[in-house]
Amino acid sequence: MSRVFRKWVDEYQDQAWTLARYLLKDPAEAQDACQEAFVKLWNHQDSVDPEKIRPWLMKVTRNGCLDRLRRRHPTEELQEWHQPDVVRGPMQGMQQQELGDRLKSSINGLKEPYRSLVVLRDIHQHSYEEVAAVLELNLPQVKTYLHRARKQLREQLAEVRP
Amino acid sequence: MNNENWNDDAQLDALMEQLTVEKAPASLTRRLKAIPREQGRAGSRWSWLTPPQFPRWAMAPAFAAIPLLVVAVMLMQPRQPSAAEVEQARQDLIVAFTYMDKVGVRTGSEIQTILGSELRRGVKDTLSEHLPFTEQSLKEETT
Repeated sequence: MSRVFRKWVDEYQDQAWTLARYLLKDPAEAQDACQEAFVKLWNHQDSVDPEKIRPWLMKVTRNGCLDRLRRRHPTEELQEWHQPDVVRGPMQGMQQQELGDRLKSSINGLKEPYRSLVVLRDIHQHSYEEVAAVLELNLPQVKTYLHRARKQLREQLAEVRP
Repeated sequence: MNNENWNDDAQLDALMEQLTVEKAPASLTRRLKAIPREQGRAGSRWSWLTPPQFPRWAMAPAFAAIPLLVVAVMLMQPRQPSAAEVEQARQDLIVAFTYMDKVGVRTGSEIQTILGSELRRGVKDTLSEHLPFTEQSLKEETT
């Protein structure tokens, strides 16, 4: 069983990590959240459908992150995920990399469940059904919320474009 | 590229493609792969079939302790009573039940006596108020 678990770690740790990083921003806390999720997976490995390990794990990771966010002090400010040493040039010369950083920052600024939706669907490339299962939404909701989230991102990016 | 270009998803999608799943740090991988060792085998359904991860040297004393444990458990079992003790207990039980029966009968009769006199007094008093001759007839009855 331990071998199977290690396989799950290899397959899903990056996705759990990315989701936790987007939600929590703090790398140390994201690591703790990931570890908690995988400990739960270990403890429930017999009851989880092997075909649905990924959505189960993403759901547990997300819920753990949201619990941590709720426990945080409301005034606590966290450093943005993107590298702080990125030099922002003049808007006219903004390169694709900088736009990517800006997009990442904009995703970080989205509220839930929009942020998780964008991460799971647009970055992790999960299917709509899988995203719906993780976020406990129905398909029309997933599509509607995703549309809204993308609209917000487009608007924010348009503001910084020349 | 101008602002109008952001109105369609294609531009956003192109940018989204840059955002790939980030590789988990090695420290996290180590922590995750240590989970089975740290959590033990408690979560496994078949854990009772697999030998626990004790050091080999600890297994011999553990096996030697099993017969001792069996003997200790047998000694701790309650002693079976003899036939005479069973008979004596039966007699004691019969006496106890007989006593309880007698007490029950006596208590019942006392209750009946008290309740009866109370009821009779209640009925008599009520009737005396409305039918004075009842008092007299009762006196006659008693004499």
